[in-house]
Amino acid sequence: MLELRALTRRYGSRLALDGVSFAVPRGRIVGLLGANGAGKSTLLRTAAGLQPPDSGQVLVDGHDVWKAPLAAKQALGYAAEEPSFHEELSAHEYLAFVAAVRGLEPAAASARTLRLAHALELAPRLDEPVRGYSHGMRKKLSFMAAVLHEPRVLLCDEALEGFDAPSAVAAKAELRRLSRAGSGILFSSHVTETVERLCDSVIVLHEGRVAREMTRTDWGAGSETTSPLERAFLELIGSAPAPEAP
Amino acid sequence: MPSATASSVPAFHALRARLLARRAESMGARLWVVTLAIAACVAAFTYWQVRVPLDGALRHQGTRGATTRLVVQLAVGVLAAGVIAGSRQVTLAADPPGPEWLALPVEPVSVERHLRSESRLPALTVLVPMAAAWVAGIGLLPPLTLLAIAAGSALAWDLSTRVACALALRAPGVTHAPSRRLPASWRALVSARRPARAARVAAPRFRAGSRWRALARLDRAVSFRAGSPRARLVFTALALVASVAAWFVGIDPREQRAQAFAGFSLACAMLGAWAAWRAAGDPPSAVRPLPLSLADSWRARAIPMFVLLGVTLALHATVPAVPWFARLGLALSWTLPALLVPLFGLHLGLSLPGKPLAAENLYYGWLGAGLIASLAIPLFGWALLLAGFALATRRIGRWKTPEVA
Repeated sequence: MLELRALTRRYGSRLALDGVSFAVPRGRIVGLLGANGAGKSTLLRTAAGLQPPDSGQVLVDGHDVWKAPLAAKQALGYAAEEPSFHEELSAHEYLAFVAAVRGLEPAAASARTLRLAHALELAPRLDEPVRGYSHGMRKKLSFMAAVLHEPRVLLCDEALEGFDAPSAVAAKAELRRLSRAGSGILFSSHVTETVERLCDSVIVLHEGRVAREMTRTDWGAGSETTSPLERAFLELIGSAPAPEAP
Repeated sequence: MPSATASSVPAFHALRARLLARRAESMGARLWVVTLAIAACVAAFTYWQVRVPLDGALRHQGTRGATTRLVVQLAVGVLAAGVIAGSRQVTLAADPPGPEWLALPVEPVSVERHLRSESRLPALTVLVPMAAAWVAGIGLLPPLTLLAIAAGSALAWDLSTRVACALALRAPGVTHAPSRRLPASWRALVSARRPARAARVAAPRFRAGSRWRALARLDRAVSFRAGSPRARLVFTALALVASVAAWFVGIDPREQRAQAFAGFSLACAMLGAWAAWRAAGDPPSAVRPLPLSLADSWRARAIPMFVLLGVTLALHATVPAVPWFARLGLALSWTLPALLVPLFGLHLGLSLPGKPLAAENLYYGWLGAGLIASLAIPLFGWALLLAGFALATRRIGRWKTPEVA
């Protein structure tokens, strides 16, 4: 379970996160929606231990990410929005490193790597250095590294952007499988249709605060151009679309 | 429709002016003071180093000999400026800063001029020691000669940096036939930022073991692939071999020992640079979410370095044909640089996570200052290095709270 308690983060005078608190329970996929600059990436990076908060706590399976980082990160997976890698290494080598650091059983980790690579159609390029990878392939690699150890808490920051259609389907299936196995997943995306189909509930972040937590029953009906969740989200942040022509 | 050439020239002028202004602003008052202080130190050191021998040359070889000496020294500066500008141009051509230039309606020559001016900026640093060397000639050489040298040097600096940039932009081979017909800057831009499909490498073996060993294996794989970490390790290996080989060259034991120590110190310095680069250079989004501790990160770099330097130190203590107590003294006295310099680099790197370039610049800057201090006052450089090591060690805790946003 992921728990955020009164998380605050400033960039100079700008308040990016303002006392954000919520929880992602086991076995649930929670969507994170917000306009550009709402603080989604800051929230996920802070939760993943990439940058410290000014105040507040991030608990992963009961372990504070900043006070007990090893225990927390052992349970955590993070698929980055702009993933960076050791460019000289092949994807396979990088994943072998991740598996070793996470203490995974070598044979099982190797088999899972190959299974994921086939599902995400990365297998033919697995032994090429990452520097030759396209944006989509980098995102796939970041996703694979995040789910390799079947984490108890998974953070996805625009994780499926840049995926081709078959890989996106495979990745969503993997997320569903992880969720059924008990992982708590926080899934941030701009694509409301994906969030609507994939997530069990949604947290709307607006100007660094949790504007609302919604479940499937909350977002009602949509229209021809906006999905039900999209309409609810736009209304919430005060950008409701103009009425559609009959 | 306006002409692209007519409109893009002032636009590029304005862009350059704004870039310079923003960079000057972003440095902040403190960094400006530090930069000016460093420039003053470099200038004073160069003045002192040039003035005394120039005076000697004037007394023994006359005005002509002294003039030749000063011109040669300034020519070295001009050459260095060309190398700096050219190498910067290569870097910028591979990853040009700014927007997708090819998508904009601008003349190739404007982009080339812009890239050139960006590449020549770092070469301005050479003007500090060059100016100091020229000032050292005041009072020794005739004023007219000095004026001619100043004008010639400025012209040569301009020419050398321009030529170096032009050559650097035209050097990369382009295999795509239609691209070969494009202007040089266009050619560079079409091949820039495009990841070439790289050759396959052997599939790795998934292994169990401690986390620091996994990180050390990753370091080894990264460092032995092409690129700057490999260059540093190759240079380290060469310096270590040269330091051991020094015992077999020459007859005078003191000379042998000095040469061996010089090679060993150089190897330690390069190893420290490698450690700084690797410790600071782990990509944050790939490594930070993993369960790695500061101790893992430290061990993964320190243990392989100690093993390598320990083996070399043992070789140095066994190879020379000197009494055992002399060997023991040698091993003990060389342990300080073997420990201090690489650990200084490692601690700097760990204290600046995600900023390998800053870590490396600070490391080299500190070592350079130590070297100059030792030349000025014997052994003072070691005091400076110890202070740097203490500072880097005190800041090592920053590894735990990275600022990688």
